[in-house]
Amino acid sequence: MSKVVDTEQKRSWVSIIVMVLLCILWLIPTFGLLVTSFRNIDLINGSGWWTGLLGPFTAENYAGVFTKTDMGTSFINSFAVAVPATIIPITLAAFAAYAFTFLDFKGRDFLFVTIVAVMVVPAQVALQPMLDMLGPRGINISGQYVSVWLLHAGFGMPLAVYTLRNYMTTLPRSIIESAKVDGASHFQTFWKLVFPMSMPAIAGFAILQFLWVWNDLLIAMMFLKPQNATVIVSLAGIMGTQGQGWELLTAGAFISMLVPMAIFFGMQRFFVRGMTSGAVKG
Amino acid sequence: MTGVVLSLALTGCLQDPNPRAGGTGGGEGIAQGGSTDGDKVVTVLGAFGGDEAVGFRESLAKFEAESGIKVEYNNSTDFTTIIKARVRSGDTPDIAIFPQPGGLIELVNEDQIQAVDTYLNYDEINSTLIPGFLDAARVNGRVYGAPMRMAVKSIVWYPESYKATGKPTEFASVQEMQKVGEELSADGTTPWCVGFESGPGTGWPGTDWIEELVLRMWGPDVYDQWTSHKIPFNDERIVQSFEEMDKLLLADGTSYGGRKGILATAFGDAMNPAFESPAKCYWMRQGNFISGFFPKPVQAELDTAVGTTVFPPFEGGFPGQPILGGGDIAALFNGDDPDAIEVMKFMTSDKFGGEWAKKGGWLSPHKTFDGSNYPDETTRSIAEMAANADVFRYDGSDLMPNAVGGGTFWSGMVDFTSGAKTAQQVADDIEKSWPQ
Amino acid sequence: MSAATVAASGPPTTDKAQTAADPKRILVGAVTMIAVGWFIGNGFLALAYYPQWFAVGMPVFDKIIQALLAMVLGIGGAVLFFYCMNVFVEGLPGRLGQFLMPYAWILPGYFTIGLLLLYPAIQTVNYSLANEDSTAYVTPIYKNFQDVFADEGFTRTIGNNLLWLLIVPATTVVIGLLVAVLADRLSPKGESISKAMMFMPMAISFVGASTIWGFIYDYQSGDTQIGLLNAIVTAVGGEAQSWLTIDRFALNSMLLMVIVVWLQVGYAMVLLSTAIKNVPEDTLEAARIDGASELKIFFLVVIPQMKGTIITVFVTVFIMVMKIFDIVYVMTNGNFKTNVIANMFFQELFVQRNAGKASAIVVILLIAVIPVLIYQVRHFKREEAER
Repeated sequence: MSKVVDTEQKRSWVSIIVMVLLCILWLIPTFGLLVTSFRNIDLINGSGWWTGLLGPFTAENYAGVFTKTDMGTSFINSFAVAVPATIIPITLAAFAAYAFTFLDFKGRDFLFVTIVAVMVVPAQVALQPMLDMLGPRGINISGQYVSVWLLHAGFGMPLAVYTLRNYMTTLPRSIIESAKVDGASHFQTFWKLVFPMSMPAIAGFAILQFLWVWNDLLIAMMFLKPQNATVIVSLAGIMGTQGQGWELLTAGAFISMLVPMAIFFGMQRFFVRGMTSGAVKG
Repeated sequence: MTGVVLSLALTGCLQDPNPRAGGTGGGEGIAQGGSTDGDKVVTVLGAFGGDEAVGFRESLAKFEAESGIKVEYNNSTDFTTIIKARVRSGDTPDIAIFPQPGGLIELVNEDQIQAVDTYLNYDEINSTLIPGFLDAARVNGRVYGAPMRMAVKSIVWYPESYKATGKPTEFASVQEMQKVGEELSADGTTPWCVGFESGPGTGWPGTDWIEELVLRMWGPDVYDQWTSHKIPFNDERIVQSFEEMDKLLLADGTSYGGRKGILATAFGDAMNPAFESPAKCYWMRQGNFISGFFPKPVQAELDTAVGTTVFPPFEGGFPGQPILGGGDIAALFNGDDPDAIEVMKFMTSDKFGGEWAKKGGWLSPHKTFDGSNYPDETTRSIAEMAANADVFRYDGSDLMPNAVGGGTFWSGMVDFTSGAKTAQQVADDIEKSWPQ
Repeated sequence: MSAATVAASGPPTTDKAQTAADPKRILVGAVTMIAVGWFIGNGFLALAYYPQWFAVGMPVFDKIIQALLAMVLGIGGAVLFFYCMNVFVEGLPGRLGQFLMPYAWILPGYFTIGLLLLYPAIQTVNYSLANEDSTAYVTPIYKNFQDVFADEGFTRTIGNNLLWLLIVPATTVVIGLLVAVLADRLSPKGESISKAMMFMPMAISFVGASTIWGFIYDYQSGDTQIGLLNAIVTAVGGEAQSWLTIDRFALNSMLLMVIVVWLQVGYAMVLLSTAIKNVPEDTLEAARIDGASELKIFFLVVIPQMKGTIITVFVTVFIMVMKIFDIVYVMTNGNFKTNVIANMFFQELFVQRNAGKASAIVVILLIAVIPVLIYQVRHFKREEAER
C-alpha cells in the first residue's frame, strides 16, 4: 500500500511543477493586459507594461467604460442572449447525438458527415441569407433576441452534435442494452440514462458555447436592435471613427470576462470523475 | 432530411438583379425607406461612436426640445457593410450618415436615396458650404447628400520644440519642405514623423500622401480623372507621385524609424516622438482628427504645444492651394417623412454643431459657421485653412470603389513602403484590381 | 441508476417486434406533436413580435422574463416534442416506427443546421458559378475558380494554410492533453484554478487578445520598446525587430500561430478534461500496482481510453484552423505574406464585393475538407466494428 502512496506523492510534484510553469507562461499576456487596463493611455503608449507593475495606477479606463455605455442593460442583454443560445442547441443536439450513436438507420453516416463538412463553412456566408429571411422582407424578427438565438443555435449545432455524439460512443453500451432489454423506450433511455451520463461533455460544451455567444460581435451587431445590445457590442461602440478610446477596451475586456469565468467555475462540478464507472460496477 | 429538401428546393435561384426597396410606391422619385412616417421619431445610423456620438447627440438636444422630434442615433463600427446588409433586407434607417461618398453613390444607383434638391434649399447650402462638398455626392447632375461634418487632411503638425530650430513654420512649396528637411536631417533629426500601421487597415495613411501629391502635382482635374478611373491608376503621372513620396519620406534620414518604423508605428502614435526632448522628428502630415490621439498633456495645452500649417502646393504643379479632406455625408432614406426632413434641414445647416464643436474634434463644412464655437485656436486656424483653400477634394480612397480604396490601395502602400514592390509594380497591380 | 429502476418507471412497452399499429397512439402522438410544435414556434414568434405581452414595465425584468420564457419554451418544448414524437412513432406499425424513429430524433437539430448552414452552403456553391452580385452565371462556368487560382498571392496563401494545419492542431491538442492530464492529478481546488488560467485567454474575448499580443509583438523605432518580445531581445543585446513583418521562414505566420495556440488550448483542455474523467480509476490503479511508470501509464492506459475525444478535439481544431480568420485579419490583414484563405474570402466578399469569387473560395475550402470527412467515415466503420 505504501508503494502506491509514495508514487502518488512523486507524481503530484511533477504535475504541480509543470502545471505551474504552464500556467505562468499562459498567464503572462493576460496579466499584461490587466496591468495595461489600469494605466493611463499616455503611459501605455510610452513604456512597456512591465515597467508599470508598481503603478501609477488609474481607474480611468474602467470609469470610462461605465460612463460611456449602459453596462447594466448590456449585461442583462448578454445574459438574455447567451443563456438560451447555449441551452437550446445543446438540448436539440443531445437528441440528435443520441440518435446518431445508438440508433442504426439508413444514411446515418452520410448525414453525420455532412454535419462535419458544414463546420468548415465560414459564418459570414450565412449572414446575408439570414438577414433576408429574418428581416423585414422575411418574417421580421430581426432585432429581437429570437433571431440571435436561432443563429447561434444553428452555428453551434454541428459542433455540439459532433462532440456529444463522439462522447456518447464512449459510454458503456452494456447499460443501454440492458435498459432496452428491460423494455425502456428510446425516450426513457435517453432522458434517464444517456443524458445524465453525458453531463461532462454537455457541461464542457455548454461552457464553450456560452463563451462564444457571450463574446460574439458580428451577429449581435447585425441582428440586435440597439436596446438589446450586448456587452461586446457596447464595448465596440465606445471607439471613435479612427479607433480613439481603444484603451477603454482593455478595461472592457476584463469586465466582460468576469461572467464567462464565473460560468467556467460553476460548471466545474460537472467534471467529476466516475460518472460512468459507478454505473458499470452497480 | 428536411434540411436537405429545403435546401434543394430553395437553391437553383439566383438573386433578383433589381432588389426593390420595401413599401408600396410613393410619389415620383420618393425614397421609400426608413421607419414609420410622422411618428415624431427619426432613426439615424452612422459610423462614429464614443465621444463623437455624444457630441452629435448634444448638438441635437436643443433641436429635439424645440421640435418635439426624437432622434435615435445608432452607430456601427462596420457601417459600410451593415448599411448594405440592411438595405438588402429592407430594414433601413430614416437617415444615414455615410463616412465616405462611395457607399452613398452605390445606394443612389439602387434608388434608395432622396435627392437633396427636393427637400433642402440647395442654393442656400451651396452658398455656405466650402466648395467641393456637394460635388462628392452628385450623381447624374443631382446631389443626394449633404455634409454635416468636415475633416481636413492637408495639415502639417509640428511640436513647440520645432520653433527652437529657427526653421520656417510656413512653406511655399513641397520642394521647400524637402530642402528644409535635408537641413534638419544634417543637423541630426529626421524631419518627418510617419505612421501607417492600423490593424486591418494598415497602409491607409500612405494613400493620403499619394493623393495629396497627385492633387498638388497635377491639379484637381487630373485628380478627379484618377479617382473616377477616367485615367488608369498606373498613369505615369501617378507613378511619378509615388516616386515623389519615396523621395520625401522613404529616403534615408527623412522619416523617423525609416521604412520599418513607418510600417510598425500606429498612425495615432506617430507624433509621440516629436514630443520627446529632444524631439526625434518634427513634422507630421495628418488630418485634424489626430489631435485626439496626442498625449493628454499635449491635448490639454493644444495651442501652445503644437502648431499647424497647411501642406503647401507643389512648385510647378497646380498653382493654387488645394485641401484634401473628407466629411460625413447625411442622406435621406425616408423621403416622405416630414420629421426626417426637418432633421436633415437642421443637420446640414450652418447652425448645427455648436455643442459638438465646443467639445472638440468636429469641424463644420460651412464657411459661415460661427468660429467662436471652436474650443481652441488650433481648430479655428484649421477651419480657416479650409475656408481659404482654392479647391477642396475628398480623400481619394473614399471616392474609389471599396475594392481599391479600402483594399488594394492600402496593401499597395504597404508593399511600396516596405520596398517589396516598385512604384510601377504597385500602380500596375492596383490598376489590375480596379473592378470593371 | 440501474436498469431495473429505469424500466419500472416507464409505461410497459411490449417487445420491438410489435407489428400491429396502434391507432390511438398514432393519433394522440401526431396531434400533440403538431400542437407542441405549433405552440413553440408561435411562442418564439410572439416573443419577437409582441414583447409587450410579456412585459411588466421594468426593462430589466422584461428581459429576464423573455430569457426565462425562451428557456422554458426551448427546453421544455423540445423535451415535450420529442416525447410526443416518441409516442407517435411507437404507435406506428413496428417496421415503420423503427424506421422513422431515428429520423424523428435528428429532425429538429438537423433542421436548424439545414436552415442556417446547409442552405447558405448550397447557395454558396451556386453563387460560385455566378457573377459578382449573383445575378447571372458566368462563362465559362468555372471562371471564378480560374480567377482564384490566378491570383498572385494564392499559392502563398495556400502554403500558409498548410503550414497552419501542420502546426497548430497538433500543438494545441498536445498541450491541451498535457494540461488535462496533469490538472487531473492535482487537488480539486488546484485543478480548478490551473484550468481556469489556461481557459482565461478564451474568455478574454477576441478584442482583448489582439490588443495584448499587439503589446507583445510591438516594435518602436526609438530606444524604448513597449513590446515584451522586443524588450527581452534588446535586454540581451539584440536589435529590436518589427516581428510581424518578417516573413523569412514564415516567422510572422508562426508568431500568429502562437496566439491561436494560446487561445485554443483552453478549448482543447475543456473537452479533453471531460474525457479524462471517464478514464476509470481502477484501470490506473491496476497499472500502478503492476509497477508501470507514469509515462507508460499515460501512453498505454490513459490515452487509448481517451482516443475518441482526442480525435474529436483534433478534428474540430483542424477545421477551425482551416478557416482561421480573425487573428490574421486584425494583426496583419494578410500583409507581409501572412494571408490565409478565409481572409482572402473576406476581402473578396466585403471589400472587392465579388460574391462569385468569394463563393469559389468557400467551395475550395469545402473540397479541401473532404479528406477529413473520408477519415471520419473510415473511423466510424472501425468504431462500429469494435463496439
